Amino acid sequence: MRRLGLLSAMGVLAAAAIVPLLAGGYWLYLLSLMGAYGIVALGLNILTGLSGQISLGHAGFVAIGAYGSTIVTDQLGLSFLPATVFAVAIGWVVGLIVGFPAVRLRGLYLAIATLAFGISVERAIYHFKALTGGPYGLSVNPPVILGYAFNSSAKLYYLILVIVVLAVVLAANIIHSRPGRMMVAMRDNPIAATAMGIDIRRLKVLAFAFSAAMSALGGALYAPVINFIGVEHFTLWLSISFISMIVVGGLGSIAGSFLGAAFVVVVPELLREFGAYHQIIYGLAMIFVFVFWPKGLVGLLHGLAGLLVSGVRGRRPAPAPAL
Amino acid sequence: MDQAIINGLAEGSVYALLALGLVFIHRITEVASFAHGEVSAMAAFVGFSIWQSTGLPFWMAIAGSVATGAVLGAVIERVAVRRVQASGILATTVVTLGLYFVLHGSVRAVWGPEVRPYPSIFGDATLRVGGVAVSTQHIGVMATSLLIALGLSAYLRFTETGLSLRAIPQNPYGAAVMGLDIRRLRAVSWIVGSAVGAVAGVLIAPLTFLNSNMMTSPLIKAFAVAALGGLDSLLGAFVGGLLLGVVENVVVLYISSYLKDSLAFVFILLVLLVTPEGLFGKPRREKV
Repeated sequence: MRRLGLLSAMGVLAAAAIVPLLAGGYWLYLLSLMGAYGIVALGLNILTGLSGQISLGHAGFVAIGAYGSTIVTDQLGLSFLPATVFAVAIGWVVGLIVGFPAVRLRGLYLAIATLAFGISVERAIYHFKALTGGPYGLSVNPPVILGYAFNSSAKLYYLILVIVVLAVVLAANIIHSRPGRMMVAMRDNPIAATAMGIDIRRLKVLAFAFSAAMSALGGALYAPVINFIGVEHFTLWLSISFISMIVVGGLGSIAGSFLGAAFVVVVPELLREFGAYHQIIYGLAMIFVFVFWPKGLVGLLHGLAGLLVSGVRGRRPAPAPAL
Repeated sequence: MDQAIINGLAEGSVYALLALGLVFIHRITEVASFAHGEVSAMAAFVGFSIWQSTGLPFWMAIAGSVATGAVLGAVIERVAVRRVQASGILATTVVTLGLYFVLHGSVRAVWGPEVRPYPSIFGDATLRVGGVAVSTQHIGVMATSLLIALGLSAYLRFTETGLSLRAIPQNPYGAAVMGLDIRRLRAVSWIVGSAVGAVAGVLIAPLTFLNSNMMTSPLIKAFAVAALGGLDSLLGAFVGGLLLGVVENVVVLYISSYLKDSLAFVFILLVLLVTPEGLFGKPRREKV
C-alpha cells in the first residue's frame, strides 16, 4: 500500500507538471490557489488532524504571511525567497506566542481563543493603515527570484508546484516519524501520552508554531496568486473554510488537505450562477463527512483504490453513536 | 458616562441573551453550537415573512419566530448533532459549523442580501431619567433577558425536567440507568435553547436591521461572554454579557472606538489565560 501511495503521488506530480500545456490561464489560477490553500490546510491538518487541537483563527496566520512577505518586498526591496523566509519566520514566532495559551486551554476554550486571535489580526490589519493599506489593501507584484520574474500564470503555477512538493515532503517526514506519532498519542489520550514520557506542553506549542509557519507560507503564496490583498480576504470565513477543507478532504491526511482545498476552490466555481448555494454545499459536506463518512474524500479514493487492487473487501461499519 | 453605562447594559443584555441559549444547550449536551446565531437569524426572518405576508399582529409573528427557533433546534438535534454527540469536540464543532454554513446559505438563498428595517416590539419612545436618555427598546431588551435568565435558572432548579436535565452532564450513564430518556432530554435542551436564541434574534434585528449577516458579530461576542462564564454557567453568561457591553461602551468613551470590537477578545484571552475554565466555571478532572 505504501508503494501504491508513492506511485500515485508520482502520477499526480507528472500530471500536475504537464497541466500548463493543456489548461488555460484561469485553470492555472485556480490550481495555484488550490496549492496555496492546500499548504495552509496541510499546516492546519497537522495541528487539528494529528495533534487534536482546534483552531478557528488560521486566517490570521495566512494574513501574517501574505502581508509580511508583501510588505518586506515593497518596503525593503527583498526578493521572493528572503521575503518568504521572513514571512514563515514571523508565522513561527506568532504561532509560538499563540501556542502558549493553547497549552492551558482545551477543546472549546481553545477554539474560542483562536477565534479571538483571528479577529484581532483582522482588526490589526484595518488599524495599521500605514503598513497594510487598511481598507484599501495592497497590490502584490509577481515574485522575483535572482532577477527572474514569475510574471505569468504558468510561471507562478510551477513556482507554487515546487513549493507544494517541498511542503508535502516535509509534512510527510513529520507525520511518519517520531513527532508525528507523539502528536497522535497526545491527541488520542493526553494523560496516557504524558505517562509514556511525552512532554505535552512542548509538543502542543511546537505543533502550533509549525502549523502557523505553514499557514504563513501558504499566505506568502496566496498573495501573488490573487495579485491584491485586502482585509476582506482574511476573515472568519476563511478560517472556517480551512476547517472544512481538512474535514472534507480527510483529517490527518496529506492528500486530503489538497483534495479539501480543491473542493473549497472548485465548488463555488461550479455553483457561481447560484449565489449563496455553495455555502449550503460546504455545510452539508462538512456534516455529511462527520455523520456518515469520517475519512473524507481521501477515504473515498482509498476505498476506490482498494477495490481496484484487491477486489471487494469487507468494510467494518462505523461504530454506532453511544448515548 | 452614565449614558455609556446605560447603553452598555442594553447592548450587553443582547449578548447575554444570545449567550444564555448557547450556555443552556452546552450545559446539558456539552455541545457548543456555532449555528446558534444563524438559528436566531432564520427565526427572525421567518417571523418577519409571516408578518409581511399575512398581516397578523406583530406579536403573533414573534410567536412564529420562537416556534421556528424551537423547531430548528429539534431538527438540528435529531438530524445532525445526535449522530456525533459521542464523537468528541472536534466532531460537534465541525458539524455545528457545517450547520452554520447551511443556515446562513439558506437565509441568503431565500431572503437575499437585502437589509430590511425591523420593527421593535417595545416601540421606540425615549424616556429621560435624571439626564440619561433610555429608549423603551433598551428597557425591553434588558427586562427580557433578565426574565429569561431567571426563568431558565428556575426551570433547571425547580422543575422535574430541570432536575433530569441537570443530571445528564453529571453522569449520562447513571441517568440512563435511572430511567431518564436521555435523547428526549437532550432534544428538550436544544428546543429550549434555540427558542431563547429566536427571542434574541427578534430583539437584535431592530438594532442591526434584518439581514443575513446580522448575527455573526453578536454570536462571536456571545461566545466570548459564554467562555468568560465557563460555558456552563447561566449566571456567568448573564453577568459576563452585561460586563462586556458596559466595558465596550466606556472604552469607546475614554479610549478609542477602534478598540471596541477587539476588546472582547483581548479580554477573553486574558481571562482564559488566568483561569482556563472561565470565571464561573468549575475545573474538571479527567481520567485516563
